[in-house]
Amino acid sequence: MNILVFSENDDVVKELLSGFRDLKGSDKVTLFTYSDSDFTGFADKVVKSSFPEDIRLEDHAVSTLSELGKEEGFDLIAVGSTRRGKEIAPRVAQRLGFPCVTDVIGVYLDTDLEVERYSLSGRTIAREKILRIPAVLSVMPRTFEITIGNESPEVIERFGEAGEYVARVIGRRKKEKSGVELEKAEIVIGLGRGIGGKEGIEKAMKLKEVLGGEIGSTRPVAYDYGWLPEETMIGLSGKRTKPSLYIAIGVSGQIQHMTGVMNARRIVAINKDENAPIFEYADYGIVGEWRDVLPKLIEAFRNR
Amino acid sequence: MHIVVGVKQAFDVDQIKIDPHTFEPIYDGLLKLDDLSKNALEEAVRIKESFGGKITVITLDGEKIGEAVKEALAIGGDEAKVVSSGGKFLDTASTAYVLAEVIKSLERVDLILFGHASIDSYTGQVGPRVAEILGLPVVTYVREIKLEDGSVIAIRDLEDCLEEVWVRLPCVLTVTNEINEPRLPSLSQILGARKKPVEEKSLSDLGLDAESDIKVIYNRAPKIERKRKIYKEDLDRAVYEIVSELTKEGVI
Repeated sequence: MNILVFSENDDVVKELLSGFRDLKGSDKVTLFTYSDSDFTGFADKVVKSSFPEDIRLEDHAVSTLSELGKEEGFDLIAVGSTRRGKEIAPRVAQRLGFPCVTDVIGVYLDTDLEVERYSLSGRTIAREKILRIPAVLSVMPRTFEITIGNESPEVIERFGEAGEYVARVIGRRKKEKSGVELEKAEIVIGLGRGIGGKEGIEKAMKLKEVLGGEIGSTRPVAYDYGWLPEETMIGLSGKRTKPSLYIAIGVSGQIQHMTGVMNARRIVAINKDENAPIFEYADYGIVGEWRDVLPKLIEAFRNR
Repeated sequence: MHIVVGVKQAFDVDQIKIDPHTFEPIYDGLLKLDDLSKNALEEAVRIKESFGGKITVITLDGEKIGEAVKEALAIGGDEAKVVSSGGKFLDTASTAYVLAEVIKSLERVDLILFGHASIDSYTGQVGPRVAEILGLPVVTYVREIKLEDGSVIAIRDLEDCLEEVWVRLPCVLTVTNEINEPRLPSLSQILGARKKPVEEKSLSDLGLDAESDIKVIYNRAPKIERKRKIYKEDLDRAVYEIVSELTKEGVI
């Protein structure tokens, strides 16, 4: 199987290249990229390109991936399922008349191509068989581990118009980066509405000082109340984490949030409502006010 | 200004129960007008309030589609077109095809709005696919829309940045939760919705036989193997035991 990979995010690119290289039935993996990074050890072939700053990345990538798809007869086009990727994948599929599955979390290639994806906002996992290839997939970040192989890629450059562009990018504002790296954190402390505001958040920061890790949040905390920056939001439309330990404080446990912590090795929940759904997902839970529990927890971790 | 809003009747993901033996979802008719569809509708209503015009709601039929359509019209749609699939399941490609056919049959359309995904299947494919079929520009994950003469400035919410995009009309935009707070329709709006025109179109009118290239083998909840050791009293003991266990397990 001849596979074409794209993502605007180099980490996701390396994950995809690692995963598809090791997939049974994979023969050749080509990368299309705008990055100047070196993909030695990852791709069999690299197609490099660039586009003018005022053109949407998605528009240029859709045109180029569709052209490459037509010219080189790929069996599978795999795009990283970032927000940009989730626009690109179905558009390429539509242009080429291929089937498409988005937000894939597992790829299985035996006699048939099968994938897994979350369904019902993460309550279920659906296994789907793709009855016709070529196909397009958008694959969730962190689906595959990065592993280095022995590829020394042939690198070619591909420039040019690749289509007509109607839309113009007139500005980009970087989101405030506080250095939070939730996706990679080994310990995540998640704060929900029940943390109540500034005082609770300061207390949770103390816990973070002792334990390390990162602070995450639920939608109400990040968007409705604005107690924490938006980039801390965990869940279906936010960050997906995979920590060794997730400590949920004042988090009710709505599925849209839990999807982002489902892969935690251990979940500890602190919530005053003993009927909160979070306790269904917890390994250890304490029914109580954070005011009472957090000081004791901080003390215990400090003396450990 | 003619605004088309594509809406979906989705499964109410928070209400659905999971069968404890098969781990399959028990749908039980738990349907509602999709959350992000409401954001798209609300945005259309706000644009109409400022610029005037008409809002056409388009959707596929389903078990309780009448209720969803009525709700959409109560929020502010002026009329609705419902595609009847005769009970057939339509995948994202087929859905996009029939919605695009419906849009083609309408009088001059200026703006087409969708939610960026639906809460139940969350594929996010329909909006971008419809745009490709119609040959229109598309901007996804829009959290702010500023309408100008014959064009739109859309602010997109991406992982690492907010991207401001200028695009001429007509175009397709898919919106996020953050774009607005959808209104609850008033009683008079709910009553008024009954009088608004709803037209049914069948798949055969639109020339589609709805074969899917994707077959769902199973759809079930992952087994959550959690210890569920919950302490309700004696905080000191609870904290001590939890920290000891986590240490023993090598988690911290």
